[in-house]
Amino acid sequence: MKKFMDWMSEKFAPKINKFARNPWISSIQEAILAAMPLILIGSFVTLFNIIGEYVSWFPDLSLISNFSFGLLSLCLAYQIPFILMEKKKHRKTAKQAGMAGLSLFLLLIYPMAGDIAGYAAEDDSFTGTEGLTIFLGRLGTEGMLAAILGGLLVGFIMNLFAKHTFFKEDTAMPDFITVWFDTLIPMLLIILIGWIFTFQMEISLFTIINKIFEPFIAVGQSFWGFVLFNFLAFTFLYSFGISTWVLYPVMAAIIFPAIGDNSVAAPGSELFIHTGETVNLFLIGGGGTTLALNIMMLRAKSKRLKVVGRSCIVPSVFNINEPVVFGAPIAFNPILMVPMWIVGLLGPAITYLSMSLGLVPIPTQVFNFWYLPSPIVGYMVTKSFAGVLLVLIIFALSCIIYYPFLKVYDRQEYAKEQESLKKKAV
Amino acid sequence: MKNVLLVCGTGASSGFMAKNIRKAAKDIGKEVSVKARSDSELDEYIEEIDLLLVGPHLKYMLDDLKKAAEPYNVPVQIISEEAYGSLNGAAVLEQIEKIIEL
Repeated sequence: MKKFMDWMSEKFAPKINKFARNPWISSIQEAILAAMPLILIGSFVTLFNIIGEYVSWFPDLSLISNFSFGLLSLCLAYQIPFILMEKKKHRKTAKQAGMAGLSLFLLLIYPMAGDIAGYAAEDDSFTGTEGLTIFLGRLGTEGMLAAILGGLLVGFIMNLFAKHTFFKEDTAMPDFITVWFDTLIPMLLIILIGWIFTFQMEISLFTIINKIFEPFIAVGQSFWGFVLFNFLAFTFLYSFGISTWVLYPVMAAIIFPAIGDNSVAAPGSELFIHTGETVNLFLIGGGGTTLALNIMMLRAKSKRLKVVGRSCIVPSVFNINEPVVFGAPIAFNPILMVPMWIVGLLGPAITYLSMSLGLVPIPTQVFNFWYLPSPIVGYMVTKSFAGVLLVLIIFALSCIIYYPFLKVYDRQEYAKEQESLKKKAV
Repeated sequence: MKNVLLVCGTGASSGFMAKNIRKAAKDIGKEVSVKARSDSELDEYIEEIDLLLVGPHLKYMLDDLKKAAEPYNVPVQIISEEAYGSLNGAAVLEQIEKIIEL
């Protein structure tokens, strides 16, 4: 066991961390974080639309969601190249990279140029003139993969050209001209790529990208994919001190399109279980379902565990548990890592099964307020008390599993405390 | 007044830590501005801060954060796991005072 622990902390964890530090990966994560307000506005719409179910005159706020959460991929298309350029220390041309990202993205999602049933500017009426037809959903979660891959491609090309300027160091040209030309070529190249595929060859890169990732998404949506991925991200790696944000780009590519598709799915069609909203049902107290542990720590025998429990209980109620994971500690502490792993496997397993068996409704609306107490989230994302019941059952299970291990650890800590007290007394 | 920035993943867990540090400072009559943000927002604050503190679960980012902070002469340190684990504001305040004068 010790050998494995050492291997994890000395060889494996640093490798994972290096992966997370990689600018290509971290710019995706940061871009999504920057777009978080949009995701939260969508969540607010879900919240307020509940009022609409009880109060008949309350307006349908869904369109607000379309122009916030529904523009997620469009925003990522700008942000990813922008952030990438900043990380690669080419801040001068970050904005241009963002704009190129927007152009490429709009080309990637395969718009169709044609007549829209007519708009005339003079009298603000519709008569029949040129327009562009875009699938609205692709500006949002449907276009996520296209936005990420397109964004990385733009970043790659812009970065390449930024390193090799067309002008000599001591050029007589003023800076803004050199910047214009140094960005002109790569931007034109990027737009040409999109144009050739979309309008000249009429190949929908959007369809190709999504087809390539279909098997990967299918795995992510399968039972084992769901359980093992969430176990890895929220429990296993976390227990070795690796932040749950490390796998976020991969997670995002699975969960956001899933909830997006669920929200427009025809009634009766099969829904995607693996959404961020689903995952929040078993992350009671945070990754590793630690709320139960934190509550039990309040009545610990050892002083240290009681103090840590008390300090961390408020964040834990709001599903923020870095303090308790590092404080108990759970991380690198085999006695508490084992129950965390058990719960980390059972939680997602029970959640998935309850949904695939139709016992709990699958979430259909974005609701990313993961830091609300879990029973509330349980109702909000499933719009039924079955969700609350699921949360309570998983919570009860986590109590049962953590209890014996905590008892052992507490006894150990208490004995240590008594020892040092005796030593001081001598 | 000195400015300290705490970073973690979203700024959520470090938010609780920041609150406790501010309280500990108030308790001993010291003035210090402590903000908690996501590490992705570092660029917006790097020019105005005197010290950058990082949550222990972001240890892997330490080198990158140090590189980012160097041109601005901002020291970067990891908050100890014990202090973070018990959200001990006083302990982190001590850590802060060892690096910058309050």
